[in-house]
Amino acid sequence: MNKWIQFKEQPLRFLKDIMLKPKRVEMNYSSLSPYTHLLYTGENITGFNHLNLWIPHFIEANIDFLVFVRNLKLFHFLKKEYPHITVLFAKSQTELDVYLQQLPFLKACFYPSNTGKNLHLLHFNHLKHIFIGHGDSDKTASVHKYFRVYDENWTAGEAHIDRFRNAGFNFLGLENIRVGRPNLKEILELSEVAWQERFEGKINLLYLSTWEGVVFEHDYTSVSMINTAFNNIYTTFDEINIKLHPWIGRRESNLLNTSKVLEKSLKEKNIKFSIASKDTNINILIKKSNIFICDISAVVTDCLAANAPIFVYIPKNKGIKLSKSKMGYEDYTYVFSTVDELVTKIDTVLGGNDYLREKREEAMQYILGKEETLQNQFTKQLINIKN
Amino acid sequence: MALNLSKLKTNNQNICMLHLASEKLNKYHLAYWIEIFDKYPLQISYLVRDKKSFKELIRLYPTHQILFASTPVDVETIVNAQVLLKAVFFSLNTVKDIHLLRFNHLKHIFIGTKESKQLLQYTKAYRAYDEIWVSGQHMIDKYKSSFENVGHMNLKIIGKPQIKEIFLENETYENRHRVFIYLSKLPSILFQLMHLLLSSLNRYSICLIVEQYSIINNLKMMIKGYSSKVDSYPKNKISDVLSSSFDYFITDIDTISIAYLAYNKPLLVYVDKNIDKTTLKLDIPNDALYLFSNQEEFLEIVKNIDKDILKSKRDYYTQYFLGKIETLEDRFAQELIGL
Repeated sequence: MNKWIQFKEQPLRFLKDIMLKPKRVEMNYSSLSPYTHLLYTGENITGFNHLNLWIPHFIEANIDFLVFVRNLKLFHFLKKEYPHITVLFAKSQTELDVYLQQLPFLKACFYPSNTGKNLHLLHFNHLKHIFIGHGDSDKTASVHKYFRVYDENWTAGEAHIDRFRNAGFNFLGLENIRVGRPNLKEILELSEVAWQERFEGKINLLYLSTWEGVVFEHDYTSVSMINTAFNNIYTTFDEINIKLHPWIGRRESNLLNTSKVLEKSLKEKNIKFSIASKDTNINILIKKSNIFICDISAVVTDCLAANAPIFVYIPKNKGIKLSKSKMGYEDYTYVFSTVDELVTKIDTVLGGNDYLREKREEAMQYILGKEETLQNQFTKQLINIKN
Repeated sequence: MALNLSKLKTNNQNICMLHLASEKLNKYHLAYWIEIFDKYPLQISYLVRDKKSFKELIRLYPTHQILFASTPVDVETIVNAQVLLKAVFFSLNTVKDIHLLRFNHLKHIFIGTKESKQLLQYTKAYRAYDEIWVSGQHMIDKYKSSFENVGHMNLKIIGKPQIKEIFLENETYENRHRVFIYLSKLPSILFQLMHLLLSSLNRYSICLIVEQYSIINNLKMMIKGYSSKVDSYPKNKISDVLSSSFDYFITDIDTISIAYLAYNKPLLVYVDKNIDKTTLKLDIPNDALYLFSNQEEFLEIVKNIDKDILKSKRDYYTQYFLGKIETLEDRFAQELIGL
């Protein structure tokens, strides 16, 4: 937008842009030349969670990498969180092009999500474009035709590749490579101890909700029934930890007070509990839990790394569109649609009949790429590109 | 402005939708395709992503199904409202294409625009589409040479349906004693050429395109006595001018265009004497062009112009760039029916 028009139509945004825009002196082009790897997001501030998932592993690989973002707020946030890594910001494609011309040794770009602005980088044919994602989900968004713009798709396990095979379109130019889930390595190592024997025999529940979706048809959340469920099952647990999706209440304003309702209810029950803030790293919560209740989302596979029973809410009559792999939720998690169903299944499992244990372990390899994770396959692939 | 479905027919039978997501050029892209789609008995909608051009387009084409969507959710609503929809056409590769490319049940086809030469970038991003419909083999060669792995990309030659009539009208050669001249600058040789054509050769009338129309009076003064044989037009009238016939085209290295190949006429190109002709790279390869740098070379070419020794080369490039055979065979229509 022309600056004068922006000043007239969006004066606050205009001033904000001026205040936040990185100064030219920060753009020291000569210092950019050694970089070989570029981690990119076209997302707004929500892109931080995607980048945060990968940056520690890029650092660990000891390669020359930089992070490139398209949102000023995210740029400043990243500079603060990671002061020792190079972060670049470009508002327009022209600015991005100028930076890219200063990176003669750049070999590959890594994308944690599909956004329209990825297009600006995809114009560089001499670079390898690699999708690395930000989790593993059965939702249809995890497999669609746009993925074909990339040269490679680094997946956790074989499941994501099967989803492509079953999606019904040709993806001949896309090479799928299994690299595991490096951010889950620590949890996978902890899961060597049987879930019943962790935490001195205590049973700690973690509840992870999704939000109510943009439209009713995409509403997969269990938040409206979870309080009733807790009333029926709370005595079974030594501790209940909760992390609600930060967008809860965006469409259904009556859900905005979900956190308060749950807090009040659990306080009355005199049970040890916590409701995590939106910034809490989910892996910290997973590590201290050995029973999980989740909605359909990528967190199910995060919990899978802990090799403990997972109860997944599948709403009835929603006609949920999931991309197909060899293993569905019902194969390795205890699915439920009602409170009664949840209570019955929890009783069975905690009563000693964890009948999905073997399938769950199979899913850990098939979905998460357990072996590839433990063998640091992601780091090895990063180093391969450098060489 | 939110979602606007006011132009969507109730119980529509739309099979295809054209996605128009340029920030400035939607009007031109739609004008390029709408008459072509109108020729065929299939229902099509036009999805516009910019509210300013949407308002303009519904005014220009009040009876067409022109829709507006701002967000990805709006796009989803529009797709769901067209239950028979099978294919989406894209005229430009834009950041908003991803909103449609996530629908796996639809076929995604890139068809480009009139300005494809300037706007196409032959990048890996085009691999997102299922098919790319191109005018001629040269675009396929460009894609294949631009990056190693074209993967699943289905590149189909459909010709240029917009210029079918031009091909048909110029199938046979008829001497009109009329010459088309379009030079970007006004080199002194222009006056010599005009003089030659009007006096010595004495059989031609001239259609002159000038970039600076203001100089036209000075020009007319210099060719006094022949002014009735010279028609002059500004650059923006070029497409109107081309609707009449010429014996040959005289251009320079900046004004030569692949579009002239469709007229099936000799193409003469003035090259400044200081430029090395052997290293010259023009839109049309040199071996199909009559290059000249002075009056003597020009006269030599014109003397033998009836023999037109470069015709076969020109025919080859007409097919290579413009897909003449596919255009005349209505390959575009066949592909549409095949959807």
